[in-house]
Amino acid sequence: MTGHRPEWPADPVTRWSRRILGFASLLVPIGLRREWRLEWEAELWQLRRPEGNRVRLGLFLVGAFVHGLWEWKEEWRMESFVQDLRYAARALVRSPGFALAALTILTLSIGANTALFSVVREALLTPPPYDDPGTLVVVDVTYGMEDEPQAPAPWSYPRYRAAADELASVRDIAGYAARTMTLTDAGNPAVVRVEAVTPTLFPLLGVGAWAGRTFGDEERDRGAPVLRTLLGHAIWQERFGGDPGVVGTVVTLDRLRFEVVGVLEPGFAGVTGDVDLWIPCSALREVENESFLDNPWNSYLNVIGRLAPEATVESARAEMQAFAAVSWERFPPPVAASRLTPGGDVVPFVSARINPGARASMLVLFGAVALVLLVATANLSGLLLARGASRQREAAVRASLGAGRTRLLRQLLTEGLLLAGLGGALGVALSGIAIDTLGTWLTEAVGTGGGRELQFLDPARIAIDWTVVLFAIAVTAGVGVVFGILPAWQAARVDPASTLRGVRAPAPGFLRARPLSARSGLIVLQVAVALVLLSGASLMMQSLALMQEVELGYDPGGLVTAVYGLTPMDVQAGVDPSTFHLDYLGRVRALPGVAGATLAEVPLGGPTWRTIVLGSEGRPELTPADHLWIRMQPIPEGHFAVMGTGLLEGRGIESTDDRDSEKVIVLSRTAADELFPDGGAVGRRIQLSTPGWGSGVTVVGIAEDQQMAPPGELSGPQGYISIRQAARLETGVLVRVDREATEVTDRLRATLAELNPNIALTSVMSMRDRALTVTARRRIVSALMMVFAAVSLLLVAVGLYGTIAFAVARRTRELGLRASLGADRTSLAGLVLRQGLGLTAVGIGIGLVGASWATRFLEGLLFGTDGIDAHTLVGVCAVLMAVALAAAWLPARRAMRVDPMTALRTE
Amino acid sequence: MARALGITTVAILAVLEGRRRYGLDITSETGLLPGTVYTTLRRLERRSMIRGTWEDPEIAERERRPRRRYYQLTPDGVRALDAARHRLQGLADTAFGVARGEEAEA
Repeated sequence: MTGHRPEWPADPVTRWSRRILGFASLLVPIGLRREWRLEWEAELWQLRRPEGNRVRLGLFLVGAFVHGLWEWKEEWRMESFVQDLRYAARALVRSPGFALAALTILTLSIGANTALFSVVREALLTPPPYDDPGTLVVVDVTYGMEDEPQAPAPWSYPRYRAAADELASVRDIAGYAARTMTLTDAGNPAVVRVEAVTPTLFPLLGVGAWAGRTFGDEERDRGAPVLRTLLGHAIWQERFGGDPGVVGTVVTLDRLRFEVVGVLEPGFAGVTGDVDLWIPCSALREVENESFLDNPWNSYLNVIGRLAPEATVESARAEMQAFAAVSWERFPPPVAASRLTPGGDVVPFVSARINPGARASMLVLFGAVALVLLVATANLSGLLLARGASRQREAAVRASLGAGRTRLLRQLLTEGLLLAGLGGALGVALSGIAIDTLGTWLTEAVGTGGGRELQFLDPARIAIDWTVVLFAIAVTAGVGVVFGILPAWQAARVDPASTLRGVRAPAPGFLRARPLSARSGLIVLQVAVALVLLSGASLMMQSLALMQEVELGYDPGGLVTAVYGLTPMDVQAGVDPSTFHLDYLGRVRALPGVAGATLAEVPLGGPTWRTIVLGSEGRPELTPADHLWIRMQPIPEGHFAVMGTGLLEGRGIESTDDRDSEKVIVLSRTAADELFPDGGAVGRRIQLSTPGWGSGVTVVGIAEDQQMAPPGELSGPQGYISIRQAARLETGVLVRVDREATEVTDRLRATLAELNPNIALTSVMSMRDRALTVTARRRIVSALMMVFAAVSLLLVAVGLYGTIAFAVARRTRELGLRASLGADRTSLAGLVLRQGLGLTAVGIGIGLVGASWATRFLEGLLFGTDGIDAHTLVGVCAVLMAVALAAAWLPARRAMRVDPMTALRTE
Repeated sequence: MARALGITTVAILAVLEGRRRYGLDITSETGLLPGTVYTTLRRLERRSMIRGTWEDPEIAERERRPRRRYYQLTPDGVRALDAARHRLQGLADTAFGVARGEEAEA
């Protein structure tokens, strides 16, 4: 074909035209390029002869480019891509076991990644759905105890007013405070979540009314209570039938009549989340007491605002600090708080609402699931490599038939992408189906509450949308390319001639053989990542186990707990809390199925009341530095027996400790040790800051400490006083039952309704469930970590087995030779085992470094362990080694059984 | 057959009817742009309506020029051209409202 070469004239037009053709020919797929160029050059020759027409030449050259581009597109689309895809699909169908395994692994890991990403995105990446969230700030008053760091505290209304009038760098300041109230209409009282807000909140956030109006200047506090309310869209739908006529009517909250002025837009459930109704702050003058808004030390509001256009967070913070100092002068603190130093802070709303514990859990889970995906990808890459090796003959056939190296490479890449694409699509579908359940579950696990009572994560807003799908596509493409490229690279090095002749690469050293070194690298990677996951999971499990062992100081078995509260209105109506509580207790104790009952703070989340011990006998004037906060619980007689809490000294509270007798207190062991380090507390007197208790109470007993706070937090010193001598409006009910708990809780409710139908029994839960709820985050994170670790371990085992079995198969000849030269069988098995364990050891070495770095992210979730320790590490390494040994054992046995004769004959 | 042939495709097929030609030849005859002509040729070739063959090297050598690639109709191409003509005739009749009979049929 190349017999002659035409003599091209040397004029510049021809030269350039040929050059341009050569350039255009680069677009043409390599297989067609030569012919394409020959044809176009022949045409150019033809065109050249009628000299001169430049326009025609130009069109001709453009035509060459158009044609080249078309060929390129055609090649990619028709000739190769569809064909590659079809070929890849056929290859997968031909090995359904492999395809199924690969797809399952991919679907699950991409699905899990996608679902977690959608949660992480909603919680950490999406700004809250308010007007210009970037300039919203949380404004804090802070207090510090002398040298201790400043901590944010709630605001009082007078302080809020002053800040709203005086701060220049933060505008539209609004306050909110969440509470629960009892909504009574149609006869069934419901406990609802209510936000008491300043009217400025709605314009600040850009939340409008769906019907009626939001709060305005009319609801601003002017010294008299304003009993108006706004309904949330959801409760309006559920409880008021979505009737717009509800605006202007009256609803009853805590037995007070509130006029409904509007219904808020759907989707807004308050800045604290899950809010049903809103009331103006000034309503608190009626709900609580007349002067509730006037006391500058009655602190309950959280404050947010909008940064003024010229202000920065730093300048606002500086102004707030100055304001705090001034306001300290203006509103001098009560004596008890004199050790406090005032401060102020301004924090962007977006970061203030983040709950660090929940964020840590989320990121840990997200990281873990990404690691699982990494292991899965490495594993599949290894599988494809093995397939690639067993398909070398096929690759060689295709290469010898003229398939270019790039074509082969693309073929294998297509297989990777096809698998990843299918897995990704199924994964997104899976996460789409599971997202509601998973979202609820995960939000329960990580919690939705953030700083300053702000809602951190709204489960209703977790969804699979286009950003999530984009994320899934990116992950999928990454996975596809990564695990397609290694096998492709390996296969592209195939030498068709020697492969077809049946010549195998000379029996290679185990780690040096080309395809093997890639697979070995993958195994090392998998082992290392599995080690990181395993260490994380075992640390979490260890924490959980340690939590179970925490000394509770009471017996949680068969204990049903609940909470209820009277309202100030009840007291005004003449109800005496002590009498009411004792009346209820008496009825509960008489119920069938009740072995004992008491009233007290419910451990792990009941109402908390703290008071300050101002002095104790022997040390009558404690300096402020010695002031001791104690957790106070008004209790009835028999409390310690019902709770199963041991009395260490003296006696408990008796029914004779009533209003007419001497005021008494039982101290917890910690409280007694703090106040009377030398012992002998019983019989001594202490002074409390509670009004009316300053003259002193007598210590009559010392009880075992109870774990009231969630595990991991200190419960601090505690004091028990007689409910006959002082009662709070709210109390917990703790009932020891000897039968079905549900049966008893129904009776508990009914009994309360007999006494007062307007009071709801809330937070009804067995003590065990309460403990589970408190540890839910840790338990779910641990459980998921365990699953991830187990999956990665399984993948490691499969991957290791595959790699070593493959190596043994390749080395049959070498092993046979060794056997025939007299190597004994155990040494052959040892050879194989050593190599498997060697890979694992390398992986463990790398994994240890990774684990010591990665487990620091777990620190916030751990309890009783500070991070990775030697025991955990040794255990984890042992598990990995055992798995490696098991995975290598089968191939090793095969190596042991190699028959020298057969092995040598096969080649 | 897949889609009905477009008018440019039909024109190219018509030029090739009865004899073989090379690309530039077709371009000048049809007055179409080179980019259109070559991509259409390639597409027709892949749909086996035409066949491309390289010129005998001896002729090229004699004429001291590169070998040309000639295209000619395959039986498929002939059939496709007939069908297309028939269809276009129908369309033209409808468009111009003239009944011309069937004599254009080959």
